[in-house]
Amino acid sequence: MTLTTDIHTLESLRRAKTEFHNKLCQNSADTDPLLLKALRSENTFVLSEFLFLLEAFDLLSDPAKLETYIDAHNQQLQALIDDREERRLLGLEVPRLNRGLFSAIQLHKAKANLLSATPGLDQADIQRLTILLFSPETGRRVIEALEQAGFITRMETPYFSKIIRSKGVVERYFSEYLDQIRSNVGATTPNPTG
Amino acid sequence: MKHLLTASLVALSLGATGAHANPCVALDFDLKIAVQDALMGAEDPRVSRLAGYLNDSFYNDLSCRMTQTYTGEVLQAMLANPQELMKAALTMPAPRNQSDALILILQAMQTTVEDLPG
Repeated sequence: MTLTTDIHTLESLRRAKTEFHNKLCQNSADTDPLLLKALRSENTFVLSEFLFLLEAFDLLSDPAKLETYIDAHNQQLQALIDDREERRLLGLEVPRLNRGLFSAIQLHKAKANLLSATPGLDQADIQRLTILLFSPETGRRVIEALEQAGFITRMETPYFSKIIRSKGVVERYFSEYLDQIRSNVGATTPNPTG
Repeated sequence: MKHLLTASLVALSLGATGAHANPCVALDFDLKIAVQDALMGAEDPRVSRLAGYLNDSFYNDLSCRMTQTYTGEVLQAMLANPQELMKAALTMPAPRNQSDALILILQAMQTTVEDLPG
């Protein structure tokens, strides 16, 4: 593998990511400069990856699947709470991790939200599921930016929940980002026999 | 060597995530200078040499996070003890590692399927 190939691969990665952010900005329902800045942020990219994974694993179609995921999430958080060194590597503190744990009632509510007339995840559940990525406050700001841009909807319920429903656009752009990397890098990968 | 590695990791991760660090309401200038002096005056030449390469934003962010971690009383005591100050600075938790966290999230999601969807 030559240095030129490495540089080309790196350039492809960077270009694909820039293109992803460009699409978000170009198709935003609002062109407020502050919003566009938020749409170009790393936190928006990271939440988009999370939303893409939710869809790719089809986790919102079946309450049993969501329960399996949340159980695994809780186990991971508990393991980090119990392991100081692992926590340090991730830059996390115990109080923050505790805020990400689902109680039995919260788990039940999350599953019930999928069976409602307007199925989706409660904003608080998304904040818990992304606690390893950013604080609940930061998570809320990114969600609000995506809502302002018209990529997701937030519906308030009589039970003080805010149900988040993605329109699938962010997930599609993320899939296209991966596709762009695959095609660009694949085009430069030398034939192993060559 | 362990301290050197820690400092290197902190420095590198700050470069990647500094823009998202929590802002300090008021930067403790004395603390920043004291931390800088402690690191640059470290007995281990590998630490002091690396400390000289780190820029202002590194020390700003590090001292900012120290003020959010330790009480004013503890910090005052440390200002009079460069060894303790250096130890505290080098053992500060690193900023959040989103890349590793995304791998953990992916692994948690993978528990929901035996085979990946096609």
